[in-house]
Amino acid sequence: MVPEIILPQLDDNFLVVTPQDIMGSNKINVLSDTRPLLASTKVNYIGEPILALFGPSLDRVKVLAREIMIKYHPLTTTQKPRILRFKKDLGNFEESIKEEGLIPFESTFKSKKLTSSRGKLIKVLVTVDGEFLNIECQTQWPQLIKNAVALSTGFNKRNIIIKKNHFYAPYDEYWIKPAHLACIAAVAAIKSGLPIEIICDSMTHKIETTVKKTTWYNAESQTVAEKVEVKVDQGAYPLFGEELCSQMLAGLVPEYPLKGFRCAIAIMPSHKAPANFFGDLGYSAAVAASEIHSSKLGIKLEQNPYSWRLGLDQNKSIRPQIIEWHNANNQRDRVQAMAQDCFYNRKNAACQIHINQKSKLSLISSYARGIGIASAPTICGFSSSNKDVKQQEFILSLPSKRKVICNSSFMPFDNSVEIWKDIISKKLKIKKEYISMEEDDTIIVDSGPSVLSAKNSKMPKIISAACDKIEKLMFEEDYPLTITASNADLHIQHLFSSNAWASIVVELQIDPVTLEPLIYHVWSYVIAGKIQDKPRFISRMKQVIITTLFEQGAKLAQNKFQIDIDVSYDEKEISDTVSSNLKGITIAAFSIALNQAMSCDITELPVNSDEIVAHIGEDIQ
Amino acid sequence: MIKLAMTLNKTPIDLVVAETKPLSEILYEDFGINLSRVNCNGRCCGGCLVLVESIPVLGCMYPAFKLQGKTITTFDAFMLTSHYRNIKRTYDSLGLTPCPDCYEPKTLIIESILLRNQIKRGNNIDSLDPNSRNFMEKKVLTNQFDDIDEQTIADEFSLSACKCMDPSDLLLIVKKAREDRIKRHVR
Amino acid sequence: MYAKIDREVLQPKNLGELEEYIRTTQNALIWAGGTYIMSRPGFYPEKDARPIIYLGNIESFSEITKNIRTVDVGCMVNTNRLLDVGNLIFSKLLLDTLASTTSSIVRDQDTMGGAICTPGRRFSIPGTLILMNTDVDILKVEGKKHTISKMPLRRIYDNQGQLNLEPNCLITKLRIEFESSDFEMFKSVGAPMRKPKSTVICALRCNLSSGIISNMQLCLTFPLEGMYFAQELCNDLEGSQVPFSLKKVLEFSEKLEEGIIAKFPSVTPLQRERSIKIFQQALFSMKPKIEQN
Repeated sequence: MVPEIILPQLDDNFLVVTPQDIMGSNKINVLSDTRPLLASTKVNYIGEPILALFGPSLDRVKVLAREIMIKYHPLTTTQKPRILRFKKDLGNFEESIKEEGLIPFESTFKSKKLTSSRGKLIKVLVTVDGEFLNIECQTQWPQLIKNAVALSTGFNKRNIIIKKNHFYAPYDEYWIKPAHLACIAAVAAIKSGLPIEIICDSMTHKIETTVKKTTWYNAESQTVAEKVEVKVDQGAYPLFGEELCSQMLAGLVPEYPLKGFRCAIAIMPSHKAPANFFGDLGYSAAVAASEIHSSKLGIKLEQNPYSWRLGLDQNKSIRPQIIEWHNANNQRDRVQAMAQDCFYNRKNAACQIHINQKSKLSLISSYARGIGIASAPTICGFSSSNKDVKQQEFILSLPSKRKVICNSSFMPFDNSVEIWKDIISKKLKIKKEYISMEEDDTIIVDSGPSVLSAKNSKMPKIISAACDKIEKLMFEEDYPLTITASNADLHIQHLFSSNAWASIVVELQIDPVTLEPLIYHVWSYVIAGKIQDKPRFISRMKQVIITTLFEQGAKLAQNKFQIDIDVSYDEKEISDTVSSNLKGITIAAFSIALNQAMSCDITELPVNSDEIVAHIGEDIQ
Repeated sequence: MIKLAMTLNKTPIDLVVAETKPLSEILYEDFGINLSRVNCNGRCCGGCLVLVESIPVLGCMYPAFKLQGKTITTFDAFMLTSHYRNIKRTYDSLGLTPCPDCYEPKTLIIESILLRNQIKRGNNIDSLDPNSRNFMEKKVLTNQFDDIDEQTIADEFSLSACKCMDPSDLLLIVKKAREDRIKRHVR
Repeated sequence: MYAKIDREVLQPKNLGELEEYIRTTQNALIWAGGTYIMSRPGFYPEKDARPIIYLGNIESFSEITKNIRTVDVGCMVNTNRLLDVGNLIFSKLLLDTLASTTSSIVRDQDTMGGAICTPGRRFSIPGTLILMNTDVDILKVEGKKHTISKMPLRRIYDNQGQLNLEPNCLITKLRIEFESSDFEMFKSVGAPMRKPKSTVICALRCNLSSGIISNMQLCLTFPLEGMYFAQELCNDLEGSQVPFSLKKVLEFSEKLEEGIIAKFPSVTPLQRERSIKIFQQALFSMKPKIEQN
């Protein structure tokens, strides 16, 4: 509770913006979710902004800000948090668990909250120019800024001009924060009549998930039913709850056959800083939990995780009910090739032999080694059931026979624009130099937030569909021609569609002196669609794998680390991105290998050396 | 406050700043120059690397009072030099590039490694010039390169907190850039 | 309110000016390389309004001179320069310690004086220098008088390894012996700047003629806690025969652990475990020196 704010004496060079100064509404609407711009009487998490102080220079503002006193006291009674619940059944769960002689197997995996510490600054510059409000910033969703600023200031949306700067947002840092800052800066700009620049760190947080899976199998070691209970902590202001559940469901549905599957997800708000998309909306955490459980189940059924996977009858899998996967046949071959190349069976057997060895981490007999395997298809963009977000609208206009204008708020700065032009040029037989992007900000269409790799993977397909649509019109109607295409034009029957799949093996050892997990070798065999820039694709895959391993607490063995990536390309259609499933399977393989090396069950990641020490049961003989 | 006379990207600049203001904050706030990271609060992330007298320094640990009369080159200006073009060619030829977040610091770290390797050094303590306060000030760029020590290179890249690249790829980039520099006599 | 971001920086050009500034300014902050000071959160704009005395313009503080047994190093000599210059004469222990600051970019800005006088933290250099019987020259300014006294580096720290310099004192020179021992080991585990709570730095040296340990010295540095010299353990190891049996190694490890817990109870289990492992690694690596006739 914040009863009082005591400000120091301020001259005309300084300006304070408090909730009372906001002319419109003190909130920002992100689709159907809401959060305050500035906390007024109640602060929901540490770090929630309460007011904004503006001055002639940053250092002077910092000095004066120290003199601001905020009196507060903790609230003893709070309202019961609103929990969003989601439940989905596949097959007949209730009937299937009634079967006789079923044995349950349970595992839990917690993906702890992660904070990105890339340390970039988000800068938003707002100037009032007569009737127009000019906003310059990096943003993944310009329409959100327009809507939010219009709501908070009362400015006409059409008079809000966004100038987008280049950005690189592997953790979706520029999704909501720029809009939040733009609102506050806009209020200050209108109040003072001066250009206002507001700067904030781009720290983002990943959701915290706890997944508990219970699988029932029969005496013949066949899996029959599975129940999944998930608790998600998105921090003080949960958002996109239903889409999160769809994405998690896609990751939680296992590869092995089941007669019945039940998934229950509960999204519970907490008093932590709000979580962000962080590159994916829970799919990687769900995949990690599923793959870890799958490996443990295989071990329980007395097989090694690779043989267990190989022996699964994929025709009976329930996963295709959720993810439409175009290339199932090659999967098995790829896993086999990878396992052979990395001598998985031999290494796994060697690690298993030492699993009961005492004094595992002694210097004399340091054999704390482990090897882990995992695989999963990819998903990208939003689910087909999502009605909230604009489904990546794209407008294609032909003012004349030889000129094309593309209209989308997903304006690419990087070489993606060349891919778009390439598609249009080939489809419509028009030279690339006659293809341009719409520049008038007042008429740029809202394609939704550029998150979940929607821009890279889905957009080329939507553009292709747009070209097909307009090609028909070219013979039927006169110029100018305009059509709108969106995700709906891709006609995805299932919740998600996928044409890319990845598998991974991670080999590690716990260093006996530093007590850190050192990664020695990573193999990743991938099936992908059509890729324009293959070396860049492989480079990006390496980046994702290495960054994920570091985030989970691993280190790379100095001078010994190797990473082998093998990609099989299917040139039929443009490939989906493999980032989110690659993250998930990397986490899973690392966890499985770590558990084998430590010969204990570490159920939470990321891990650090303190936790490894706590798990050591030393008895040196 | 101190009145500084320095050269920034080949432009003479006069500036009045607080004496202890870090170079990274001067560049960001007074000149609007974007660095990968302005201040990481002591984590030595490498994001604020700039060139002072052609030597890479951490801008967050370089106070204003040391800048008097110095020449500062930011990454944008470094991109116009032959040294940068040498490194860029290497990135392109190998198809390996750091991510946009650490492109600048990693490139400057590569430049630092190559510079150190290129400098003629006197290893004998008796031959050291006692008037030379900072050894690096007495630099003589030659076309002679020491053998590249792989461990040293790995240690240098530990300054960059972004772990997006395979260490063996970074080593490859340094070796190739060095070969290119020797071949083309890049100065 | 504008004056609060400003701080006076005095830049003496010689010892005379330095003494005058120390005499006339109250509670001034002595600034060497400034790397640690500037790395603290909230450094700028500072809450600390004390004037600064910057030593970088005093030439004698940047000199390196070689004598028969020692190398005299001015307090403003940066780590990189000392590493380059002492490459052929310093012991492996000292060279490894100097190189342990893993980037030469940081070493260029990091000074020897700053490294041994970092407030509130101990990093790798003080421990190793103490093992190498380093002496320091301390300049003390009292009223109109000044004195330069020489003392072992060890004495500027208290029992817990915290800096114990009197006010108006500063270190002007270090005298480092460059004699090597038969066995030397330096190992730093963890990230001292990024994760000091889990970092352990170990410096160890001893002689091994005829396979018998003599002049054993050990220093374990815990950045936030201090330095542990394990004197009793070193005394116990004197006269021991190498190579060690497993039983002996475990015995000594246990003693080390007990010593660490007694001296620094706030050290984390991870730091303790790492200390023991490094120590064991050192003991296992000790082999008799092959005498050449």
